[in-house]
Order: sequence, then C-alpha cells, then structure tokens
Amino acid sequence: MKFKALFAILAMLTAGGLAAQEISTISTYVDSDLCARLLLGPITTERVQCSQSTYKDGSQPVLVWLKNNMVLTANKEKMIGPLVGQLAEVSGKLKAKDGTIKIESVKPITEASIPQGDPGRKMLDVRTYRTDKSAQLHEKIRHELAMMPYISTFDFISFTQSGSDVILTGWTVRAINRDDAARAVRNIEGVETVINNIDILPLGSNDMRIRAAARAALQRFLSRYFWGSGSDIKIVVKNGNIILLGSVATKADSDIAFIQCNGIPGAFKVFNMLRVRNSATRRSVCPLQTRSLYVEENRSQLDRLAILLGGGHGHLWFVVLLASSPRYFECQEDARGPRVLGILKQLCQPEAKPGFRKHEVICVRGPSQ
Amino acid sequence: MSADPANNIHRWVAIIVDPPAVYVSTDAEPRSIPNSGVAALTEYFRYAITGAVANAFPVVQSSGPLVLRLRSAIVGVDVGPPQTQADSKDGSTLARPINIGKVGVEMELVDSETGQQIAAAVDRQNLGEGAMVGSVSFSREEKFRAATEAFNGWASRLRLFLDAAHELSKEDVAHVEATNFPYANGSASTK
Repeated sequence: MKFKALFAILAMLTAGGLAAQEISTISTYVDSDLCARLLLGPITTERVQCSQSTYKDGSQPVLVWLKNNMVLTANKEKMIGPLVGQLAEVSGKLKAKDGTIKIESVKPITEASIPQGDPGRKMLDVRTYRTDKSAQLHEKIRHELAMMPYISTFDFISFTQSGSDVILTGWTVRAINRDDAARAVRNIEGVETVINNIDILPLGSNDMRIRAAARAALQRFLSRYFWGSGSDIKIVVKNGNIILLGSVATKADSDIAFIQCNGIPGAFKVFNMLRVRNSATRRSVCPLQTRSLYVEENRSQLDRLAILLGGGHGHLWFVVLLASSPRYFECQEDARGPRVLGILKQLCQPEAKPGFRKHEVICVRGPSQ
Repeated sequence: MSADPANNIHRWVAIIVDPPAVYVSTDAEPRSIPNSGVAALTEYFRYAITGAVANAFPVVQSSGPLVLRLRSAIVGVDVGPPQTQADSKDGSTLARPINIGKVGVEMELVDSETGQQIAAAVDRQNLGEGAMVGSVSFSREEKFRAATEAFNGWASRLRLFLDAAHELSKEDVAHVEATNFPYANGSASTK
C-alpha cells in the first residue's frame, strides 16, 4: 500500500517535471548581450550593425523573443553565434522566469515567414515604439527609475516603451535594483505589462578590481562627471568586459574615458557607448517650469538665440516647443543664466500680440524665478 | 549607526559578513558557556544580518575593492540556570542556556582592503528575562523568541541605516534628473 502511494507521488512529480520542461518553439532575433540590454528598439539596420559589431568584439550572443522583447540567455552560444543579426526559430526548454533557454535546435528564418498578426511581428514594426502619444507616461517611468536610491556608478537601468508595455533593460550589481525597478514601473498608472531584462552582474574578484580601477581612472581625469552618490558615466563590467554608458559633454571626454579604461589591467574589451551631449539627441526632459509664451513669428530671432547660446554645456536648458519640432537651447549655469532669461523675455511676450505665436517654453533646470 | 561623512557609503557595492565575536559578561564564568551555544548564537546573528542586507549589498566571501567588511560583536553574554532534560525537544538542547537579556551589539563597517572604518554602531537594549538561547537550533524554539526577535531587530536596523545612507539628497536628485536620459527607442550608437 505504502509503495503504491509512493509510486503515485513519484509519477505525479515526474509528470509535473516533464510538463515544466516542455519544448517550446519561438521566433527570436539573435542579438548581442550588449545591444539587447540597451534595446535599441525595433530591428533596424542600425541595430543589426550594433548586434554584429558588438558580437564580433566579444559581447555574448543572446536571443530576443520577438513576442515580448524578453532577452533569453542560451546554453549553446556556438549554435546561435553565427546567426547574430538575423531572425531565428529556436526550439528548446524555455524558462521565461529566469530568462534562459536550453536550445535543442535553431534555424534561420526570414521576416516573411512570420505570419501577419503574429505577436512575433511586434518587434519588427517601428510604429510599436512610438511614444509621442504617451510622452507623459514616458517621463513618469524615467523619473521613477532615476529616483531609485541604490543605483551606483556600476549600474545602468534604462527602458523602452511600447505602448502601455514597458521593457526594462540594463545591468545592475544589486538584486534590489532589478526588483525595485519592476515594482516602481508596474505601479505607474497606464503601464500594463513589464518585461524585466535587467541583468544582475556577477561580483567576481576580477570584475570588482576592474570596476574599482575604471572608476578611479575616470574620476582622476573626468572628475566633473562624478558627484556624491553617482555619476554621469556608468561603468558596467561583465566577465572582464567594460561597457561605458551615460553621457559626456564632448567627444574628447568620451575618447579620454575609452583610453583610460582600455589601459586597465585584466580588462578584455571596452565598449564605448558613451553619448556625447548634443541638443539634437536629447529626447527626455524633466520640466520644472512650463510657461506659455508668445514667440515672434520671425524664426530668425530664435535662430539668433540658438547661436548666442550654442557651444555651452551645463545645467540650464530651455526647450522651446515650436509647432514642428522641439528646439533645445542650453547654456552654462553661470553669469549667462540671467542673460538667457533676458533674451527670452525680449523675444517672448507673456500676452498675445499680432505677429506673435503661442509656444510652450519649458525651463528644464533654470533659476528659481 | 553613525557614518563618517568623508567616506560615502555609495562607494562600496558588496559586503563580507564576518562571524560575530562573542564577549561574556564581566561577572560570568566563560568556561560555563557552552561552545555549541556560542556557535549557534553567532550563526543565527550572521544569518539574520545576511538576510537583511543581501539584496542591497550582495554578500561575498573574499575581500577586495568595493567590498565592505561588517565586523560585529555580541557583548555581555551570560549563562542561565541549568535546564532540565524534560525541556528538550531534540538532542540539541544546551545543558545551560545562554542568557542574552543584557547584551549589547557593536557593529563596524570597514573597507575590506584597507581596514578603514566607514561606519560604527553600538546598540544596547535590555531584552529581559526571556531572552535566552537554550538550543543550538534556537531559532525554532518558541521559548527563545525574544532572542531571535532581538537579533532580527539589530539586523533590520543595520539595513535601515544602509537604506538611509543611500537616500538621494537634494543635490543628487538634481543631478540624476538632469542626466538620466535613457538609451531608448533607437537612440544609442556604437563605436
């Protein structure tokens, strides 16, 4: 009797175990770990180039599940390596919770072989990633992630919005950041699903040495990008590879960071993904003050303003939302601050006048008045 | 817990939790305190601390750069009255329980490489008569709840200190708000 019960339990356990390890067949994009975590959005030529070049430079190959953008670490990297930058149909034991897949077979596929209406086509459509209708939601998500207290120089967390779905990406040395980011974003009104692609980095002694050395080198030469609890430059170290992320003011600073990190003993490869601050690439702003102002129709005056303010970089930005596209002006937070305000006052009138058109002027981080 | 403001705790990312040292009360006889009980005491305290901090400060085994070392001491441990065998639920009951009713805890965070002190705390609280450790598996003993609660309390206070030390200051908020531009929607470039 006892044996019968034991067999029954064993049979149930075995059946349950087999069910959990079912073979799934999924449509994927074969990416490099670096590009997949940065998630450049839809699969464009730029992304394919990123995947192939970073894979060639030593970034680990991973699979991106087309249905939901989930990054899956594969057990047989050699099988997927040659397909980096291509679409592939992968069969294997999928563990979505852990973000892993044990590959049984892989075959390259073309975009045309994915039927119309299939959720797998979602990632292929550029329109999926448009955020212009939900700029407020985008700003809320950005703000929540920026306010996480345990983010250090060695963590980089970013996100991509696809309608009401949010894909969290990046690398962190602390498990709390992965969990907190998902929790914070999930609680935002308007967010429906959260795919968490944040990778928890190993804390091996070699990686730790590289982290400390990279921070010391960058702080020595680029100290202005480091402050009390964080930095503009993020140093992600994974298995001896350094990924530099964040933003710097000039190309020269980006090159200094790259050269300094290249000289660190024990580091295999440096991926310089630093962005050089440039008014045209600024996508996200955090308005402190928003005012409606009336700007003279003659755009040349605004162009003059741009020239006056051009070349500076710092902490005071004005965004003038013109009818067609936003214009960003920036200047240093020094004596030029009041001068900028003066010019804006001269150009912009608080009340409607003939020849003036209404625009929103956002003072991103300016004087308190 | 107080921290040296010159040593910003943000600079470290992992922690080593050393086994706590146990110091007996001045009027107690050290030899009468069972070794197995002391081992259980230190193990539980270490377990409580590890559980409280691990997700924010990953616990590692070896010292190195960016790694903090937590040194702690349980001070004022005494020996309790002999236990009758009838109290025993398993073979691990101590002949004489360890009285931690009047213990204090001292904790110190140091740089694991240089030994430089980053933060320190001394916490004393009267746990009362019930605070005893009578078994090597004392965490399961209902009778010793006061002791386990005290240990968990100290561990959670350490976590609260770490959380408070990581709260963003006004200046930090201004910095992150101004610099946090995600690499989203196809805006990154490679070299």
